[in-house]
Amino acid sequence: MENLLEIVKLAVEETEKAGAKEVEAYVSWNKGVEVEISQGQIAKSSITIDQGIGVRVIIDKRIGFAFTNSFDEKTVKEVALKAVKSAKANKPDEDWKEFPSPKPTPTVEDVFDRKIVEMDVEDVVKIALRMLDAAISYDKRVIPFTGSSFTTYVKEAIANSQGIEEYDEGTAIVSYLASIARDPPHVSPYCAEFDANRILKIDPEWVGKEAARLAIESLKGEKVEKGEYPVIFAQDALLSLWTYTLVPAVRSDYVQRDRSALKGKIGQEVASELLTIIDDGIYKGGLKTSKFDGEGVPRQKTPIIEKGVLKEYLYNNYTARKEDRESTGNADRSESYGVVRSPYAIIPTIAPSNFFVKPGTTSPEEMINEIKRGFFVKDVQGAHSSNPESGEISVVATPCWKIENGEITCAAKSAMIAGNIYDMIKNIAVVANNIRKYDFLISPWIRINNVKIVTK
Amino acid sequence: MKDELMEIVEYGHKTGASYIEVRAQSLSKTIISTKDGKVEVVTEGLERGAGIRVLVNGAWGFATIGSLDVNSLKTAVEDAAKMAKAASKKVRMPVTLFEVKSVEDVVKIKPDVDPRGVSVDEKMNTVLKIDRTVFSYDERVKSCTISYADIIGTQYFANSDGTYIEQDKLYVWSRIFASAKEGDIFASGREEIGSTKGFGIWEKETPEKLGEKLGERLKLQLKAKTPKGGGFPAVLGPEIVGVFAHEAFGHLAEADLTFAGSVILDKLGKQVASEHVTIVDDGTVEGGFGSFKYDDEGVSAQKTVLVKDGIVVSLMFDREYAAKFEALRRKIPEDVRDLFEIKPTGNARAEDFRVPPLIRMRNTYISPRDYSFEELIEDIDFGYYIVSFRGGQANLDGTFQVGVQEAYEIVKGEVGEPVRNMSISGNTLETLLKVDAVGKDFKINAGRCGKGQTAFIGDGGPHLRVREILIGGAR
Repeated sequence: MENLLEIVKLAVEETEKAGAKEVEAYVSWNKGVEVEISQGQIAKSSITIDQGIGVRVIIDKRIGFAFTNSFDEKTVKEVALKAVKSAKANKPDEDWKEFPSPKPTPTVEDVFDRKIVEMDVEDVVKIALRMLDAAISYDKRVIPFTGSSFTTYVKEAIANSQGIEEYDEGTAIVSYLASIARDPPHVSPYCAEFDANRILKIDPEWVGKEAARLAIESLKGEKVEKGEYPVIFAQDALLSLWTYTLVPAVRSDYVQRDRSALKGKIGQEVASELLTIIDDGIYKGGLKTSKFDGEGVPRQKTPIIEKGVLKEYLYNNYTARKEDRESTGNADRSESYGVVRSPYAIIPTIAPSNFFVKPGTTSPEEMINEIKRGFFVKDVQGAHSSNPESGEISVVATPCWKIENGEITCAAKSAMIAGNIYDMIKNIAVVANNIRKYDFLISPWIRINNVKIVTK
Repeated sequence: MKDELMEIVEYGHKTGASYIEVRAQSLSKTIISTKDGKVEVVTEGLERGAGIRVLVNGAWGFATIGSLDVNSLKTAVEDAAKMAKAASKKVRMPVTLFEVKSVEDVVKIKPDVDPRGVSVDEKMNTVLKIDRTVFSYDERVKSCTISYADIIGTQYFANSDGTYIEQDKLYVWSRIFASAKEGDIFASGREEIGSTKGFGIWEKETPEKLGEKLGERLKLQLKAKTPKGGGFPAVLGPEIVGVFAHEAFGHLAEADLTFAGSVILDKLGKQVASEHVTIVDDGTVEGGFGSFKYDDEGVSAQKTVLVKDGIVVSLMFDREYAAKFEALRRKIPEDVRDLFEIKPTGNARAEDFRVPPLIRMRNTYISPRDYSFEELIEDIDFGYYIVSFRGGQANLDGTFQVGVQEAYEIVKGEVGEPVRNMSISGNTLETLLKVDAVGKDFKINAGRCGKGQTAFIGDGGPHLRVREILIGGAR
């Protein structure tokens, strides 16, 4: 631990020596062990160690950034110099104020488990096998074609010239399986399930069985009739839809640049009163829970939508200082576009921590029982081609099932959902009680009325 | 590097591995991002490291490490072997590799303009010129986000078959997002360019040309109407044909996904498209964003015809899946067996040393034929001319969905009014069978593809006509 902190402190010192007054150094160390499933068997596993340092420097409001994937003393000095050079080459940004100052960081629970760190690859193989066996024994028409079980152990440290010096570590374990079922001439769509946790508590048998069941149950589908229906969205579908619409709309950088349909709507009703979303960076065991964000700002709870009323946007230090306010602790080092892939190589942007959707009291069974004619949408395809600014979506619902007279009857083929996400969240009719962690989303199923289904 | 890598390969044999492969890289990256006329940051990065892959008892083990030091690499080989042994315990179908000839080669790139010789200032100014062009094109433009990156370096590859390849890497890439707004109507658009030749791409794709193209697209979207939903005849432009060749069809013909049960599996040697359709995945396109000389298994890149006149004649193979399919060859019906070619095609690609290679596309396109654009649209009474996409996705069951950012109505044989927020979807093979005319023009665009890892790719083709395609649209 001291080690990583010592490195960032050294980087700050070296950069200051190189002539920069404002500097931030971030290091991350990530170890991953993964056992892969393909074509119904385990035949591959890997170990990844990725570490590196990113140094951000501001000289006369000019921002520069340099990174490298090692951090011995010599490299740290080189990176410091490169960052300084890169800042000097840039043009000034008048909106730059200063790096964040130290604040007490919260205590977070269930985000680190020594048992995960101590797991051997053999243990990870066992978990993958349990999942695989559960899928194969469910039905012989199932092909568990891709999946994996993996563990990660992440350490990170950050220091800046304002005096922030922080260290954090975390673990995670994930079991994931995607299956299809084949019963010529029928082929099911790709059906995936997973379980993930920060501590050693997952259920690989459930994942295997579910991935198999979903594939079998979507093997033979019926075409759908177009119209407006009540639709139940599972967490996967909500995550896909919101990632490209609602999430950018509540990012302060989108709002400041007039790219958000929710600009100027703080205090206004933007959704059904059944919808409450809290960005909760300290949620116990949350997949995105940590002590501090990508700039060393403490994670916190920020109400985004409360009973349908828009309360707040997500800020990092830069966008917050632009409005003379405090960051909400949402600086994120993962937004990339395939040119780099490690957090130390990425300059902070803005992302949700955990989007916690307050559950209702209805059970999922009741939710289905209440629908006479409608659909259950497990996931959607093509959400990334949504119009991020207008909220207009046009996606394929897959896997997707018909609900008739309170029961799921059969898979629905080539059902497309068209509409606008902001109309859709106003039409939320029921929020279930089956909360689940799904990437940054912690949510139950949600029923939305009058969803437009288009088809051939 | 050769002696060091050979030493590692040699050392790998001691761990009990039957195949050892070391891929070392040293890469430098310059990344610039701008927002609304302002340079957000200039990033300078240096990465070096190695990925080691071994086969033990028919299972793969992979280890990666951010160092090129020989002792660290030896530890990594041991780790990789340990991984492989753990994975091999329950292997039912041991992994074997299709035999290929060993190669020794040094591949030097001669850039048209070496990005290392271009100042950061000039790179920034090039990007900012696009920004200015977009903003000055129409006063309703609200935002413009541009990413620019150049990646330069060398890859060193050695394996236990005796192959040693030193290969330069060079990529210049840029993506532009812009949006406009009038009242409640939002418009957004993107453009992407990329080259493996160098910074000279900006002479062909000038900042002004790109900016104007995007500005015009936003302007059209603001006045556009929403499409009618349902099945309509359509003419697809090269960009849409490209995304169709790549996203809708291409993934189905990646041998790992075919093997997993994509709809192509039952169609080897058989008809999947109309006789007008020839689909190619080509690693040899000059300067193409998906071009390279050797793939990440040391197999030379080549032009692979996937569909010839409507018939599936090959897939995209790596060494593992070429061997798997070869073992299945007798299952292909005898009358069409000889039409289908199985061999490693040079499609094994890894994003960088941190990850093992997977079967990935290169430059994927539909080959041109003989129609002019006028001939393609003249018989359409009502339909759509679909020009540019926002994103696309496909499923192994052969369904696809593509979000469209630029399209027009076709009315009585003429291109009519613009349409916004359209998407097209349907069944890939059904749609390919409905292609009834293919144009004589041709264009390949740069893009990136995600399959757990990012790959730089190209896709394209000519204009072509589909008798019916499913149009979806918002509201």
